[in-house]
Amino acid sequence: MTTVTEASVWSSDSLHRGADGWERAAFDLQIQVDGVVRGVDATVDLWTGTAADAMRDDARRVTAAGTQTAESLLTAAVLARQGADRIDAAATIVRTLVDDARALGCTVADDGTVTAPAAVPQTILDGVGGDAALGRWYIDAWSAQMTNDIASALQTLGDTDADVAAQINEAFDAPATKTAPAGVGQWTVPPADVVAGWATLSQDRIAAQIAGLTLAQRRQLVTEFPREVGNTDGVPWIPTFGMRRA
Amino acid sequence: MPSNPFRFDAAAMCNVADQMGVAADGLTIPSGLPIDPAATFRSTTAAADGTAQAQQRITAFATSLTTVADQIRTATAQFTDTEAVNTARLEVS
Repeated sequence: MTTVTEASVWSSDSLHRGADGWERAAFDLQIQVDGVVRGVDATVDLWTGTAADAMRDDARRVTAAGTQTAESLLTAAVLARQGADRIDAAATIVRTLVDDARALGCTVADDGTVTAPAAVPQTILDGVGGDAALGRWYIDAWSAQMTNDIASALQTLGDTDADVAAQINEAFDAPATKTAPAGVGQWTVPPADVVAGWATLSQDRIAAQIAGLTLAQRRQLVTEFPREVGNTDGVPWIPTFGMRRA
Repeated sequence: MPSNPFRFDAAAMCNVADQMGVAADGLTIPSGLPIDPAATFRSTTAAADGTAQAQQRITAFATSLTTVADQIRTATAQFTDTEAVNTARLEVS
């Protein structure tokens, strides 16, 4: 069971830092893989025979594994960022409920149990026309409801955390057994429309949009829209590496 | 007698092997994630585990790349020997 303390210390920084590092590693890895693939492909003019074929088979197996690792890293980065936002939202609900309870003088235990204050808060008394008995009943009932609400919010936070963890684990699973999570790697709008929309989007929005794409999708953009990708502010340097260097 | 399909450009293949070595040495290994001991979030732990897994895979990739490069260098050394070239020619003819 997730606790109030855990909800209060939750920070999405580590997931975002992880996603940033995975993304950098993925693109760096893919750049090196692409370079090796080009070099190996070129050896058909340099070395022929059975040993040469065996070397190229080995090299292709190695580079395929490298590409799969890059895809895993990028998928995990997308899921970690989305997951961080989901956990942020769930933790914010817990914190808000706890703050509301404390604002009325209630105490909140780590498991979310809310205890009404010994004295009925003045704001409650004012709301019930100074009727102390009614005020007592109201604050006790409100505390009981808040206990349920906080417990439910803690449960949602824990479930969300577990779901994000499962998604990250799945992304890093062996590629042969991995299935892409729903929504990852699928275009919600055609790539041409994505690029066309950049003219009216802020740099932050464009960067966020790119961050949500898989490696394959980003490479598709680079291949099909090299001029737009290479010349649009907000597109991270990594996917445009080949364009701007050329 | 079939035509001889064997061809080996030692200098060019050395360059290919060197490029593989440079690629292996130039890889970015993602650094580990610090985990707040006060928090027991499974997603953070999964992220740290995933980072460790990625580190291993990238290191394995670099090692495999180095192995292929070494195979190419070994072949280069063998094929530059005339007798080895002749043997190779016989094998593939």
